[in-house]
Amino acid sequence: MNSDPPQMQRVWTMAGGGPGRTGTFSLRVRLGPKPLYRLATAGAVQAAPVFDPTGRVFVADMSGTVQAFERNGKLLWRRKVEGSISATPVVDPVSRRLFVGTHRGWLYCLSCLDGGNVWSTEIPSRTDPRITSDLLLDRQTGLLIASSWAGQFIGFRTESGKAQLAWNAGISPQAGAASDRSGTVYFQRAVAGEGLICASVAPDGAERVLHKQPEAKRGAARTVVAAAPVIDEERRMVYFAVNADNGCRLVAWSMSQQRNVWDVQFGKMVVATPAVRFDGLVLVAVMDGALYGIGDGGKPVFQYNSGAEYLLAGPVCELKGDVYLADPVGRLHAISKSGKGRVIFEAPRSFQARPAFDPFGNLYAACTNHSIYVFPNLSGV
Amino acid sequence: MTRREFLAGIAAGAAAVGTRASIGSESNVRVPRGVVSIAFCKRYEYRNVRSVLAGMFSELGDVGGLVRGKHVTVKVNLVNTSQEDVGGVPLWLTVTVHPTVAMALGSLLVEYGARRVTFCDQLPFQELGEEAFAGYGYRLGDFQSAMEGRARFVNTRNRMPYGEYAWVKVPNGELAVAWEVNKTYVETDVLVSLAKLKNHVSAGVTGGMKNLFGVPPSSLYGDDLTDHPDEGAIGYRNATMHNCTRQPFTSGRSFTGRSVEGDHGYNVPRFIVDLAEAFPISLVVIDGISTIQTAEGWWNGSMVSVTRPGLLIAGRNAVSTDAVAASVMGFNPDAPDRTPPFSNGSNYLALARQRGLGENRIDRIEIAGVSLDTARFEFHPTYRRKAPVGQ
Repeated sequence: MNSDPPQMQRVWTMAGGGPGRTGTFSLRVRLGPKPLYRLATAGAVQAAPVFDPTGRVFVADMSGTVQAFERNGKLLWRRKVEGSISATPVVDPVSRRLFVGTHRGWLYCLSCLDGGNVWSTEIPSRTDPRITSDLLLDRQTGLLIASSWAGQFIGFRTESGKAQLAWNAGISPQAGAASDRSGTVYFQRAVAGEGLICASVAPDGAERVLHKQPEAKRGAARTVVAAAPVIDEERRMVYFAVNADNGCRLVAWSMSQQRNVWDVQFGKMVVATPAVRFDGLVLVAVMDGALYGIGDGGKPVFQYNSGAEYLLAGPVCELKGDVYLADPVGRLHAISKSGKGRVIFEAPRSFQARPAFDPFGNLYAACTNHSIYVFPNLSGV
Repeated sequence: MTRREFLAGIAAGAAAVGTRASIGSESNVRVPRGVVSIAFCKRYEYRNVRSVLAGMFSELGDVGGLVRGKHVTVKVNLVNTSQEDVGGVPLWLTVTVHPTVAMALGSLLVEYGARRVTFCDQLPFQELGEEAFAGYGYRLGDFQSAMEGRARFVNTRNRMPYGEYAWVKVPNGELAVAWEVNKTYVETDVLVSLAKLKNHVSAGVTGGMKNLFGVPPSSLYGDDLTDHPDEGAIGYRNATMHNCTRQPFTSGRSFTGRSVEGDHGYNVPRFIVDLAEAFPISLVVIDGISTIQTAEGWWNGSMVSVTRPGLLIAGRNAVSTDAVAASVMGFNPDAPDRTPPFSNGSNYLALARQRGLGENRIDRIEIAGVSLDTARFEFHPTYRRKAPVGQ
């Protein structure tokens, strides 16, 4: 499992699979037409499921309940935490710990084995400390990185919960950070009077501004920062979905050339983290209800209209380029490499979380009807 | 009652408020409650929405009997502009009631025998008729086609089309003992509140009762007034009913002065109850198909996010219906003040029960249709305003 290409993940321990957030699974997947089974949750699910290498799945929901299920769907443990959860948790497969952030501003470190509390800490704030951004575990520094509406990204020591590093997260951050192999963390923030800033923080805490978009007409306080950066290590690229007013600019930043190499504009904002396909195609779910495939140089390759008025969750992709997208009308779409798609399943309520693959290629679609639908991978992994 | 007698009456009422025993000694209060219906509805498709609403109304009981041969006024939850959006997503999918829901409701009311259905809200436009509604996606022609020509749109931001305002008493008013409003809200047989399922920063949650905040007209209560009423005013009611830094320019004193300057969380819930007592709602319908969470409008900026519960809620008692709505959103409708979802102030649902307007305790409310557990769709809680120094 360690031989995965750097931009692909087999064990999806965090949102988008791994610290690069590419949303690309490292094996071939051929999904069965119907869910194999359904995992029952206590509340609506807005966070993606995460996994350990054995296929054990961890689910956090909006009722503030965290559950672990065995690979066969059997409930392993369940526990309540303080506050509802929409930020995708993180599994540390080495220490066998699960990290969860809540809307009450609590960060929990739980044992993957039984859900026991290892440590917990409250984000200090005089306003609102909620955590809505997907958590990040940086493998190089070993830091757990979370942002909250208290206005900071904080890097916590995973063993103790002690804060080691902190930097400005801007106004009401909803987007998680991403990190590359060197431990450099990439993120966005909206700042009044300055605009939208795409930046990186090195392991020693040094911050560098990579791209600055001047404050839009509506102001930074109305600029939604909800999509995490996505890192294509193979091509040495970082993609930022930069919202402004009611539109979005996808900015392609080259790690080799240390500059923006292209950008492309969408007519509506983006709240879902994009994906990067095996061939470098960037897949962007836009609030106009369409999924766009953007090639090198910002060239539009395809546009797939989902039929939904908007899209809240990002796509995921398997080794050969098949894409899965869940929409807010409750439909799961399968989209081919060429951009042709179809609805393969319809749930009773909306999908608002990005689907996720377990280590065997089974697809977990988390729904707001208190369910996670598990679609089998028939490709024989 | 003459206007002179009425004004004398409300002045006496205002004086009496200060000496009244505490509102809400609950032991003697038997609060009304009604069945509340919840139904799934994933899309804004007219036929489907209409069919779902019809099923809900049959669960509620005699909605037909309520409106047959009557003039029905539907207060629609629109907002203080139609020129905005939430990140490019239109207002009707995020902040305001979708026109499809309003039209389906109107069509059913006509089918049940309503003589006329007036859709109204106070809108920030000089136009007083259908033009004012167009930006929210409301086309009168479409409504007339669906409603046998019995629809009417009225912008109630001033007294038009009437020549004078109506005074409406608040029997147990805490912050207001009367409201001076457009007569549309009085010259009617049945008042329906058509609301959006949302959080609210000051009130905790919105619903059928909070929707009445749009009743007091800008011409008397608006922020764009300086020292006298103005029939051309279009402003919001921040100074009079949120911050409470000044009295409205009504023709008689109607506010008790018991508001707390600058404390939205104290003032807004109490005004909601004072409005709900003055304007009894006979039917609440809440559009929870597609909306926003954390706060109530585009003006809350990046703190709000689009969400899709995919449901409709309806009930005959406004307090009970709003309580069920709060519970569907994952909140305790009887939560203590200054705890979620009422993070920034008082629980207006509890205040309303204490005033005898309805039941807000969820275990005492009968729910029809989809069960509460199945319907539950937890919203992100509203954000906490900055705490005072020392807290």
